[in-house]
Amino acid sequence: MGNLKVSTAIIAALTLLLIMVLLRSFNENLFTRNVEDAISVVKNKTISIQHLADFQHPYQVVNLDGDSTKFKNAWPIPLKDILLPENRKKLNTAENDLLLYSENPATSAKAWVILNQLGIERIFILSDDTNPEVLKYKFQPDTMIRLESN
Amino acid sequence: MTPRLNIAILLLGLGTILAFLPYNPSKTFRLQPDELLAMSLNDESYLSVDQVARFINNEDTSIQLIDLRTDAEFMECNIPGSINIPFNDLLNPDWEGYLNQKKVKNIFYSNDDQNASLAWTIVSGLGYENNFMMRGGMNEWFRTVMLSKFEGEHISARENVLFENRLKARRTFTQINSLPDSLKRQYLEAKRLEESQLDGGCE
Repeated sequence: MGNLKVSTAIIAALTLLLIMVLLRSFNENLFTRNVEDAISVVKNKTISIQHLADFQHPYQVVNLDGDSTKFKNAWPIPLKDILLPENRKKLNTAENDLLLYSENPATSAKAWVILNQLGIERIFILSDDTNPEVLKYKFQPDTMIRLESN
Repeated sequence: MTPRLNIAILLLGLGTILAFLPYNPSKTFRLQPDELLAMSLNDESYLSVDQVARFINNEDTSIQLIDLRTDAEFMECNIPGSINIPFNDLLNPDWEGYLNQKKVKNIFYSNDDQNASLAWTIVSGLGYENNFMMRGGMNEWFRTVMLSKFEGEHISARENVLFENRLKARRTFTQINSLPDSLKRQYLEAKRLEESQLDGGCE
């Protein structure tokens, strides 16, 4: 009788563990993707407004500032609302490539990482600049500089 | 049922569960999406170039500037006291000690805001603490600190403090970055050695 109780307890514990594992495996509200992949692909995921006409695929602009006037037919989804269930569903089921736009490049960059790590494919950062990460200034060294002697 | 049999059932059960778990050796975010989004919306993760200039002038040891640009860009010019962790190399285990720590504020910067924001979101998602960004990156540094001029007849005490802060940081920046490459490398190596010793390590 005692052995039966022990066996039941073990099976109950294992079942609980299995349920927890399954819940975690199928929980859509967790990040599951490899971060290293994001770093390797993000370099090719920025396109500029100037080159939008050359973009090869049908696209959908997502305006993260919540503005629907800058781009025709853009989805106005402010960054703060990006994880709302209706927006998640909309982004997950989008048929076209998603172009994330914000006047602040930091906003679109953050949204890109979050959505990429949630497993949403075919997302790009739409930038005002052709190359947003170019240094616009040239440093002029002072040729008279010498190390101070101690 | 003997205790041995009970243990055997337990181990077999655990083994079965483990066998069906998806094998995922990769790095994934530790934070939940809601948590990361809330952090992303918080403006306190930004520091201005004037704040960074003040840190440099005060030789503040509670901050660590992280330049995310390429090695070539870094060697051409960088904010004094920075270490170079190119964005593409961010997850190299060599940098883990710098990124995953609780002692100093890590301030990420790049030429503009995009790469710093990407890096900030990634390291924050991984659960690393004390991450900040320098708003506007090197472009803002040049615009505000390097090219700052006072134009007017009168200067208030506050403006004077701000201007002096920028001027001092500009001098340090120019001095360090005007060194020949060999001396600059020596300076950077010395700085890294000093940091690793302060951290209790050795090289």
